[in-house]
Amino acid sequence: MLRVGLELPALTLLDGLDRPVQLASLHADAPLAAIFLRHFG
Amino acid sequence: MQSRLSEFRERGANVAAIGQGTGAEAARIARMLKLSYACYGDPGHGAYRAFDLGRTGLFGLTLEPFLSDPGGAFRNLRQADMRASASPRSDVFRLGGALVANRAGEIRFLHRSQSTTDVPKTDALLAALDAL
Repeated sequence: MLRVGLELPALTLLDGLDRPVQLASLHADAPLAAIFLRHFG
Repeated sequence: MQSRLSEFRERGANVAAIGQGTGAEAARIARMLKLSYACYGDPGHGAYRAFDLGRTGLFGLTLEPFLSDPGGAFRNLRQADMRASASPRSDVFRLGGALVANRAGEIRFLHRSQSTTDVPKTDALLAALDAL
């Protein structure tokens, strides 16, 4: 199970144009703060 | 998070939201909530599973929030978008969470919500950034 101290997993998300975005790209140039929404409702 | 976005920017952090749905649905919710940070879609819920984010049940989705945290429950209800909730890609039982990672990709803060009203605290995220 992921926990503090471990590396983020390799994951692919979709941007607003439905293009794939690697999670790793979000912290490549700066620390990342991310929230997981419960759902889009 | 939106109302305190400048505090994240001051710390040089990238800010992102991840939701269950397509990228287009993410863009729609970002417009609806007037988010000025990136919102990404995770239509297969792979990120939610990877981070072991929990799921609640029918009681946890309906009555329990009003009993344990009426303010939070009403806030959730006020912000609810029933059309999006009905999306086949949206698991309304899924709980949220939050993380902070450093530039090396190491997780420095991880919160898994325990209920629908257990919202990650902005102060905790900012403190994690300060500790990097």
